[in-house]
Amino acid sequence: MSEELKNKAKELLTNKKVDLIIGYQRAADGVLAAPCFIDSQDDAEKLIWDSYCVYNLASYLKDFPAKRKGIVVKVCDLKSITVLLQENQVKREELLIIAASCPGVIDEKRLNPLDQQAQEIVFAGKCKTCKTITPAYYDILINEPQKNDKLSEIGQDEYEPVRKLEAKSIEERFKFWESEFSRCIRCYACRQICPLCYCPKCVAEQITPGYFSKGVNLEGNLSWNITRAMHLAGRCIDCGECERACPVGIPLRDINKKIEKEIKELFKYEAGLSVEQKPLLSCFDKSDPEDFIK
Amino acid sequence: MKIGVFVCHCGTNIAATVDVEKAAKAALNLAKVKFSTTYKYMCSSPGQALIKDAIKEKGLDRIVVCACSPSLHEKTFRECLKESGINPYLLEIANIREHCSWVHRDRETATRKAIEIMKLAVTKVTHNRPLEKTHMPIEKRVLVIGGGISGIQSAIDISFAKFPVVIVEREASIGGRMARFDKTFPTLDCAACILTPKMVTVAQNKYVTLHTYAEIEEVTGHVGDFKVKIRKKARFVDTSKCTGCGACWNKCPAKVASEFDLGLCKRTAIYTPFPQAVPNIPVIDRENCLYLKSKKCGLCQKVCPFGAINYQMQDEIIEEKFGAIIVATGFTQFDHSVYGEYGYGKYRDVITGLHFERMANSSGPTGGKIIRPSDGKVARDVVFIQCVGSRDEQKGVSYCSRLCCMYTAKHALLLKEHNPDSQAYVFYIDIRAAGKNYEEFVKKVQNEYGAVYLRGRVSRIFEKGGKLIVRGADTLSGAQIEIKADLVVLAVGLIAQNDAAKLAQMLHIPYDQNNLFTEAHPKLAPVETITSGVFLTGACQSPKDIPDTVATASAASVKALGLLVQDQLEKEPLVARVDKNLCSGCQACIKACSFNAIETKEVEDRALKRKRTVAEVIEGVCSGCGNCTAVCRMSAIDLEGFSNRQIMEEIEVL
Repeated sequence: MSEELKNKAKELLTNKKVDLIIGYQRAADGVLAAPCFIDSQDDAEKLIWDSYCVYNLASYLKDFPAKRKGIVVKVCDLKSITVLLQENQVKREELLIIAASCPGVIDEKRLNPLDQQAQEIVFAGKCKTCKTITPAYYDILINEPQKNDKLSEIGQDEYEPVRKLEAKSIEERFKFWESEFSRCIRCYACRQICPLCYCPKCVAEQITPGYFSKGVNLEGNLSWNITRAMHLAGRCIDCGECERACPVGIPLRDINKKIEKEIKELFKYEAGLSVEQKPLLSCFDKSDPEDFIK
Repeated sequence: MKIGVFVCHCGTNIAATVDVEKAAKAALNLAKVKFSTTYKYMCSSPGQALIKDAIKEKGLDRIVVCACSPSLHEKTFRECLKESGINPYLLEIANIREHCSWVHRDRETATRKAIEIMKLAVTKVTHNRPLEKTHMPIEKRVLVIGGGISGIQSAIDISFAKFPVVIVEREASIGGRMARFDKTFPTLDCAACILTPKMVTVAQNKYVTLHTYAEIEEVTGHVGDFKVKIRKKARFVDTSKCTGCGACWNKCPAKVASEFDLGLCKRTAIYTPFPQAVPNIPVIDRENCLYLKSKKCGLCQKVCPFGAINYQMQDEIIEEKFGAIIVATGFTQFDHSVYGEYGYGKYRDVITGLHFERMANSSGPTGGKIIRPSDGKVARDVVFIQCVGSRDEQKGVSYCSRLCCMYTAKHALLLKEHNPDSQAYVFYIDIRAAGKNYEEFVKKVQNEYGAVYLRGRVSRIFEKGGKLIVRGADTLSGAQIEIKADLVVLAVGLIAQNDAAKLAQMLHIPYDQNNLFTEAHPKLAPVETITSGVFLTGACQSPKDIPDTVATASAASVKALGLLVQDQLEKEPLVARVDKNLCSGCQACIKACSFNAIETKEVEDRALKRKRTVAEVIEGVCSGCGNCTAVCRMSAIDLEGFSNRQIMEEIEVL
């Protein structure tokens, strides 16, 4: 599969179909994958495609404005590109989407990089419940028809962790998040990695007015984490990068998924399904539920 | 900065629940407050004088008035500041009446809350900026959508003031519903006799342009500067050559049911809807014309002495600019075929009130004879059923259509006059005759014309022996009634035009669950909409009879003229502004804006050394609703007078 990708990449660069290709190369540890930016056909040799290609490369698109970019994407990554297109952050004509059928990616945190001969790959949480293997649209499809049977848990309830939290009382839930967020060190890795956190100046850094405390304290941490989640409401496509990047292990996907679930139930809306879809929070519809107005 | 706080008693409205003296005293503890006082009625002349004097004597430069809702007296106090030489936007109103005294009982807690509300206003006013009203030019022309009596009256009124007005009517002639009526209640003037002079007036008026057989295609822009695309449907008749001689329609071989006469007679494929049509120029109905369908025929072209027939004509789209728009699109009839008890619309002798109007009309399809459509026999026993589709939440609409009681009474009267041997039976729920001389009219029909009024509903109608058997109940006597009727006339309700919602969306005006257009305020702004520059008249808003329709038409015209007579349009400066450095160009605001007030703009981003697309507010269009600020994740949009900073500071002091 990597071979097919390399050949395609060479072809695209030789024919000047794109100025560069954003893809994955083997990391220095020889196991994991790292993002790479290929602009010559010689470099195309570096490209790889396997279960270690964890990162959502959509975050890099904004770094190359006005260039024709080829980008290697998985299903989830493509959804974030869809939102970026919807929100006019990238231009479709500058994009060449190289969709790779996805074998599921590893849970980086549970992989011991020293143990290169690990018996079993532990898949990322998002992959366990992912229902699609091939992206909805693309310009080039790198297809590996075989389905990885390691993903035995396909079809599992994706909201199981959310339901567990919902079962708790409000006080317990608040306590839970309080204790999770109290560990936040405000490094903003969650924001930096998120392809949809592209604001020129994040509200966390604005000063007149200052929306919440910039200090590492419970008030500021709660405000930041809730703001982050709310700003992704109706937009987050669950690539899980925030949770992966979090150095202190806050279960950020749980809060994202909770909002995603509410939106699905209340508005029958799912983010990243089509570019034409109107952004949920910018639109009013007569059939919107109003039960919350008492 | 010297802030003055003025606490109003509002008689006892506030003072009974809130300790106003305590509140005024508490104000003095707030930063930058240099003066505070109370007064019985702050909005009164002495109350305003109190503020003005304090400004002068104490050198105050910002004012907080603790009183009623800003929607009531904000204007008053802004003017008061202006007269004292302070920028009127350096004022804040703390609503301690609707938000406090009216909704609380306990004096102590209410006072505490009033002080909190005052604290917010003081904090907010600290960050107010002096603002100036903006001005924009006005296109001094009015568009009237719909050429019924409503649109006609509006156009006449506007032309009196010598402003150009354009009527767009989708039918081939103006006149609308009223042109189909026979007599009008309660005076029984002939509808045509009072309508046609008005039709001719607009046709001859040099200030009025008529676009008949035309529809609105697109509306963009805003008050003072609406850009409207109008589709002039191909008539296939050259209006500059045609004289309306009628040679064409006398020869046309294609006959179809006449819409104007509700299928009671035929018309030709080239036709004018009725003899007094304005303009008296026919159109060719492209679905039924033999030439346009199959290139056979061409008779009208041969017989036209003026060479006016042009089969190659295409729809034409013209674009015009207007300062104001009057919506006069009227209504349509409720379709009674949903009622099984009335025969699902399949009995030919169960007709609607409008059919009856056409039959009673001497220039109508029966030449003024009231007969049974099925066999042409004179109708003797006629049953009228009221509230068909109206006041029926299950199958129809929940509202009362308001005029059916009256037109049914009129029909009962006309029946007697046309067929002296006849008998009218009217099934009703309630008689609603609340208009000048209306009740008297109904009484006259009952007493002098012998119409039998039965309070109750009809349970079933069926055919038997060439008659319609009408079964119902008279709930007053408790008797079951069965009438052998020749004809049944249903007083069907009035409903919104089928495409009303589409037009409303085009105009950005709200509509209700019945697709009727919604006025800005049901009592105090009945012909305005929340979209400034768009006004409503007639039955497109709610069912209205002719007097009400004409009255709202004149009212809407006055509102439109009120705009047009200004040299420039004054705009409130409380609009949104985009900080382009913070804007990511995601355009969520553009989608959230109900007023089309935000555009995109390319700017040079010096840091990134490239062009970037950002949002920009069109100040003249922005109404300051704040939708955009709520959806902007980057806080790049700020609303003057309600800035993010002000709101954050208010939250902080709470």
